[in-house]
Amino acid sequence: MKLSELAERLGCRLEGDGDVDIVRVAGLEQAAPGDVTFVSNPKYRSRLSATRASAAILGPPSGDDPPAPCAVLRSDQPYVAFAHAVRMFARGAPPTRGIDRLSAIAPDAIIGSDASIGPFVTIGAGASVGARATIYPSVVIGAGARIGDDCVLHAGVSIREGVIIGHRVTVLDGAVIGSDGFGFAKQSDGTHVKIPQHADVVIEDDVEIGANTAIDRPAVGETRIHAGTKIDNLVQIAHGVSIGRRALLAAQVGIAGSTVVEDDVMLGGQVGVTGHVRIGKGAMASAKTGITGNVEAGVLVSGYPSLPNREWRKTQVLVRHLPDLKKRVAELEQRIAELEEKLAECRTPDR
Amino acid sequence: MKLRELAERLGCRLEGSGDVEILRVAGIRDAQAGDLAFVASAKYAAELPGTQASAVILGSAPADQPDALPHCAVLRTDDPYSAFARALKLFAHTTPPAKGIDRLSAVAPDAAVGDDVSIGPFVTIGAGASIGARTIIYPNVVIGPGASIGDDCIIHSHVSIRERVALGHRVILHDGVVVGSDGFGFVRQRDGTHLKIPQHAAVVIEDDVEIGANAAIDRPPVGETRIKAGTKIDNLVHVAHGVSIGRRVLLTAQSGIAGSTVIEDDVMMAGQSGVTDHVRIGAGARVGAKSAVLGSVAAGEFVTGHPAIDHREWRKASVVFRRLPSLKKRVDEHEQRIAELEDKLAEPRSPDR
Repeated sequence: MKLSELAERLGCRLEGDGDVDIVRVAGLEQAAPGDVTFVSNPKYRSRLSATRASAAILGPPSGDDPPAPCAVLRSDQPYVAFAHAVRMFARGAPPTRGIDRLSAIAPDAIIGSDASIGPFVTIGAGASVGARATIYPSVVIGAGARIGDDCVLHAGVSIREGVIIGHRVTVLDGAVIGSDGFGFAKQSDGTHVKIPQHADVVIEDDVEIGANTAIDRPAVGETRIHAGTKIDNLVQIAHGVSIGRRALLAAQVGIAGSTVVEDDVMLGGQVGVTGHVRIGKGAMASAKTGITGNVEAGVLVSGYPSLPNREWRKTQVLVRHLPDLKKRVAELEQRIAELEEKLAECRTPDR
Repeated sequence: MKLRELAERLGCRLEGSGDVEILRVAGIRDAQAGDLAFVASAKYAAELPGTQASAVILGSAPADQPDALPHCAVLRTDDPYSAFARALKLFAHTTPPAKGIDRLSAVAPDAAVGDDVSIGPFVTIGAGASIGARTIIYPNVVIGPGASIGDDCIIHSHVSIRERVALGHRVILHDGVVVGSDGFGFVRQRDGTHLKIPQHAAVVIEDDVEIGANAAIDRPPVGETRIKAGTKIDNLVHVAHGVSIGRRVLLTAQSGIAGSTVIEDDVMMAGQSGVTDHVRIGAGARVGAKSAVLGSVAAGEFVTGHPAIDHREWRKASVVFRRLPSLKKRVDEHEQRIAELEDKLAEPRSPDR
């Protein structure tokens, strides 16, 4: 594609030769002639001068930018333009439409038009799959589950009985939705009796769920992921949890039972949240934070147990000084004892 | 197998009778007559006198081990743990699955399948994919179009290898591993929604890599995710898009590496540790269990904690950590005593002034 055409399709302003042919999108370091690269984080602007790319997608110019060694596509949102460019050059054909003869589909299941069902897919009684949905091989969809239009379920996904999934939902390989919540009642003899977990799980429109993530179903009520939320790999969502709209949960996050995560929350990798608490709208937690109570809307928390980020940073600086602090307290003790002694001496003669 | 033959095959020096028949490899505590046990760590040397084993693999006479054991034979070696590993391999009685392609598999007509492979039931192999010689693919594995898998690999059940992923030779993927899933890449739009950045670039797993059950290795939008030769990854590990992991690295269970980070050769990361994105962990560095690495780590360093700091510093600090309540109490008491001192000093001096 000519760079001038690419600029037009991405809605970018072209600076330089529009006749150059672009064949690929590449990172700054690996880019070669024929590639378009991008810099969205100003931190990496300085690395641009060494690139061999034919063109770079950049944000609005700033005073101290080094001159680009290639043509430039200017955009107010370079990261969005980059995302569109990657989509344009994406390889790989979608799987063929139709139902593979090696699948097992219940006679009363409803399959929408132009769906693609791969080999070794099992679809249970009374389940439905929406139009244009792509179901990769070895997916298991339980009885009565409902999958919306344009969904993509990657290989080995398990959607349990009665789970409801909206439109345009992507579930990556190996994820499990609707597995039994971890609920047991301790008996007087110390054994644990299972509390049946049969209630609802709802995944709303435009949600993405990462590889090998597990979303549990509750005993009563529902587990719900609201529209537009994106969940990374190996995340654990316990029974009865509610995740708001447009939330981002990075890899290996764990959310314990019945917790409510409101809209636009962002949780970094390996964050853990205890059960029955509320994370307010737009709150953020940095990676590996252990959240043991409610978090107010809009606050950034860190550490274990979690504290507002600014406080946590101060305490973390102190951790290194703890041995020294301990020494100083011991010295103070010594000095106070000496002072007390001296004072006692001063007073004795006149008594 | 006669102990004499075993000693020879393991390259150990035999002390005692070579005629005893060895049937099994067992732990030092539960070994019975006919078993070969081993002691590689001084921690277990105390178990030696009580063992029922017929023979024991021991290091070359470390100070804390008895020179001779009256009740069982000894196989001496400089590296008892490696000898133990080889002995286990000799006695392993797992039968590999039958060669051939199961008739209940779905293999694309243009997929290239090497000699002597074993492909189990309900395996899907996509168009243009290639499978090397003697590779074993267990049931319910899905291999995407254009993926390439080398010779002598073992792919356990329910693994998903996505389109165009490349695996070297002798790679072992345990059950449920996903290689080449979409990286977690979204752009926040002005209306607060997240636009997906397509993740279609390369994922390369080099020779002799082993990846544990349900681990996930993501693919990037551009560039590549690469795991270099000889690296071993435990269960439930997350490797994000664009990460490069060096040679002979060990990542223990539930550790996680965020996007574009570079882990150099011979790094060891303990369980549940995590590394942030776009940083570099230098060759031979170590990360303690449950640590959060928030910046680059120099080669050979050992870091622990959240945020991860030098391991010795962290140990010193953690000794004080449990005394923080008493430390706080002492500071409170000091405050009290200083206040009393100040009161006394402020009292009118005795009448002799």
